[in-house]
Amino acid sequence: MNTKIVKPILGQIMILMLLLTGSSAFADEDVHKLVIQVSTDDVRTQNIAMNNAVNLQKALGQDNIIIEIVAYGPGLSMMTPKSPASKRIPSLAMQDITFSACGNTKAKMEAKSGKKIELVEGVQMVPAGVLRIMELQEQGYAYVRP
Amino acid sequence: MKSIPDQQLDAFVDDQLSQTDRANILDAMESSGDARNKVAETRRLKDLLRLAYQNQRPNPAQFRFKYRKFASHAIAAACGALSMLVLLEVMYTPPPDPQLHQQAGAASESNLLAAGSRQPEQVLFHLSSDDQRAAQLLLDQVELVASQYARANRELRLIVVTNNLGLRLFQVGQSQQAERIGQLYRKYDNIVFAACGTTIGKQAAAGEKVELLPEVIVIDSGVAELTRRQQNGWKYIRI
Repeated sequence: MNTKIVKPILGQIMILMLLLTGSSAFADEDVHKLVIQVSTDDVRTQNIAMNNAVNLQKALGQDNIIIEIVAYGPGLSMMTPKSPASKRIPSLAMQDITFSACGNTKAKMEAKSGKKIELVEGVQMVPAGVLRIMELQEQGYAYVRP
Repeated sequence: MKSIPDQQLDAFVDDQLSQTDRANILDAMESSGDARNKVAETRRLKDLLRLAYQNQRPNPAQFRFKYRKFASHAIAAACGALSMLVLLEVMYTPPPDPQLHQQAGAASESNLLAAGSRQPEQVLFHLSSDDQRAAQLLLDQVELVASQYARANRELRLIVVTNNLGLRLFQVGQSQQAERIGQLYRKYDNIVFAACGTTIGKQAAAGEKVELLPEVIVIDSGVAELTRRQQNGWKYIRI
């Protein structure tokens, strides 16, 4: 490899790359992104997940953090009227916290019980909770599992 | 058996011991779980330290000194290639459809699986408890992800790491999911089941005989592996 010629070109490309990554990092400098996983039917843990979200919003300012809570497996109960934790969801959803329920878990539970499962107001459904979490991590979300 | 002095332990992990000293330590490791444990622990610490100091650089430990010059060129070339890719992507990727998120409930596929996605997906699953429901949930999710990627014809690498009490899932006679792990292993060639060597060392030191399922490999340290791979862009799900 002729390094004399290649080196300056590489240098330019690297500077370009730095500029690209630098500028995109600059654009959302202040906005944090967080995904919180709930995979247990323990109501205490479900409440802690929501407390984490609320406290972070308070600490950083509602406009400075984007929070999504994803429930799957036994954690799905959090987003059904069955769990006492679900009462808080409609008001928190209006406060810009996103709630995502795992469609795969829901379908499985419905097939098992033969009954339709209701989700509380303010909850969106995603095809699969785990895939949603992976997708958000790809978008730069930090991952927390209380 | 006399214990290994710390200095020698460091030199051993750094591969700087004379042949005789090295052989002595290997002997000690063979006969004593405690020695194995110590070596694994030292390795883990070294790994973590290396990570802390060499943030973001792709696995520099793999490059030997005499290849350093070549390596720096190779890294520069890789960065160049990467930047070209980034550039191409910036120029050719259409802006994401803002409605996709709202319609997620109606869509049957995740955005992740959309055609034209670029790199192979890499994801770590981590289990550290011996809760049977968690074990079941873990394998359900692993199977879900593996099957979805197979169906979408997307390349996937998936590693299941267990440590502490989670190790039981991989132990003969302890695991209630041995059969299912075998099935998953045979059905998908992109799933790796990895047991934490540090945990195994601890159990062996406590006098427990650890026999692992045939599908399972042993890694130095679960935590170090999870940290390292996440720094290299792997996604992480803890069950």
